[in-house]
Amino acid sequence: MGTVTCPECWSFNVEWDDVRPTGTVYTWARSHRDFMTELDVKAPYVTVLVELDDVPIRLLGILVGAGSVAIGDRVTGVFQKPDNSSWTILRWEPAA
Amino acid sequence: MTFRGSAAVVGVSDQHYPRGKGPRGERGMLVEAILAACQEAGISPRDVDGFTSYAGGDNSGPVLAAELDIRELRWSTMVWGGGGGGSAAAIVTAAAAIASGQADCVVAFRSMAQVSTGRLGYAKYYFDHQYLPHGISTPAHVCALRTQRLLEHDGVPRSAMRNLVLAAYHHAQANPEAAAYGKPLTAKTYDESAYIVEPFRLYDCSRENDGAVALVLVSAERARTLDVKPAYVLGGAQGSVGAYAARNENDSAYTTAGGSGTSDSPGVASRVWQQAGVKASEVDVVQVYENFSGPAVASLIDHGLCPPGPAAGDFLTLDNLIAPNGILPVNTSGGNVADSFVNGMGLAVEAVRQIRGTSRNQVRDGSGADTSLYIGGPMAPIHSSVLLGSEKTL
Ligand SMILES: [Zn+2]
Repeated sequence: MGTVTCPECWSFNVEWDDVRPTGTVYTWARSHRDFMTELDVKAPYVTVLVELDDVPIRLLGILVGAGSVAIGDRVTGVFQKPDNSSWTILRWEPAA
Repeated sequence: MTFRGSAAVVGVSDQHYPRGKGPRGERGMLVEAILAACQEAGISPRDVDGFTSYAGGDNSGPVLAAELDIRELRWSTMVWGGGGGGSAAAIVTAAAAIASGQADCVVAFRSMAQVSTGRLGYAKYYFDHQYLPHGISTPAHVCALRTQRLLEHDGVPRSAMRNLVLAAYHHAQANPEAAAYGKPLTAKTYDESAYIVEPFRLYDCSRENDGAVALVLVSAERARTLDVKPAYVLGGAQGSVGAYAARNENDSAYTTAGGSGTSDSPGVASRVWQQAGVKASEVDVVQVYENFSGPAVASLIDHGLCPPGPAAGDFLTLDNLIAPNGILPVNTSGGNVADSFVNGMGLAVEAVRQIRGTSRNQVRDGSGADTSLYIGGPMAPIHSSVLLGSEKTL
């Protein structure tokens, strides 16, 4: 849901920071059914929750280009723009 | 003023039908359930002066006051946020109103009909742009993420989940009202069932029903004048620690059900035990909300009913989980997976039946249970549980 302030100091002056798109798989789930017609990725697909290297924050994203997944796997963020989307979406692939 | 033992559940009604097959809409089924629960308690519906519920819905206190033509509405409270996580909190809120003198007779309820509000599996809750683009769109998804770490990182074996499900199906075989009555489940069938959202297989997932559930609460003094065996509210709590689940998967107690505490905050489970003056090891029987099997295992761990990590597997055996002789009989009507699902409130009614001695899988047959715990929805933005007790526990 996000917050309108910084929960640590309650400042309204929140801003974007650059961080490296690298991290570790904290957990994952594999969807075996197409729950969402609007998704360009078809089941079975894996969503990973990734703990970033640079900041203590976890981000979700669909894992692409991987055969298997386990907690602790190293991953790199990639930005994809599906044909049916006007937004760029963060996804993850196995670290090179 | 003391909360412990001040209020009691004296009337219950649990009416459920296959999903989409309810005889009326949500309000109609709800009014039927309230009338039935009042009749069971021997209380005129016009004496009701409060209503509590959770997870939203249009049937507010004023709406129900008009349906029942009650004399005065004195308590109209919705537990805020968290879907089924607030179910036990609705009962505790009713008891709190009575204990504090705000109201005399409060109905805690939930009603669901597909015709009125669609399927809960697609409930909108908090699935916003932080979730949907990543294919996370249902309660099954968010619970799967946490459960996978519970299994793979914390080391809780899959058998813990399976045995919880098998125990529920075992109990359902003695409950003719249960959806799984006459349909026993074997470990093999469970193991071979399709994945829905891994790690959840089909049988790890709760059902959905049309139906309405109502519980009538009054003061302990009034309860003793009625011709029913009261189930006293010994303790209860609601809430979350560290913004559980409202931080887009960034909360610290990630693999808990939301009931555990931290070094400076006791958490829901500890507050319930402390208020009731009862230890986890002393509870006779437990109804634990299983939206999915894994989160329910986490609830048992949070409440200290079962050890964490790999040892959870040694404890959560089928023998230990079934009535009447298991160490920890759970979900004795069949629960959300094998009996029915009206957002979990049917489990609260079963917790009352265990105190009364009227369960189809009764523990301490003859006398009834002395302590009966109902744990609300796990891995939701808020969590809650309530401990009921017999007269002997007061
Ligand atoms: Zn700050």
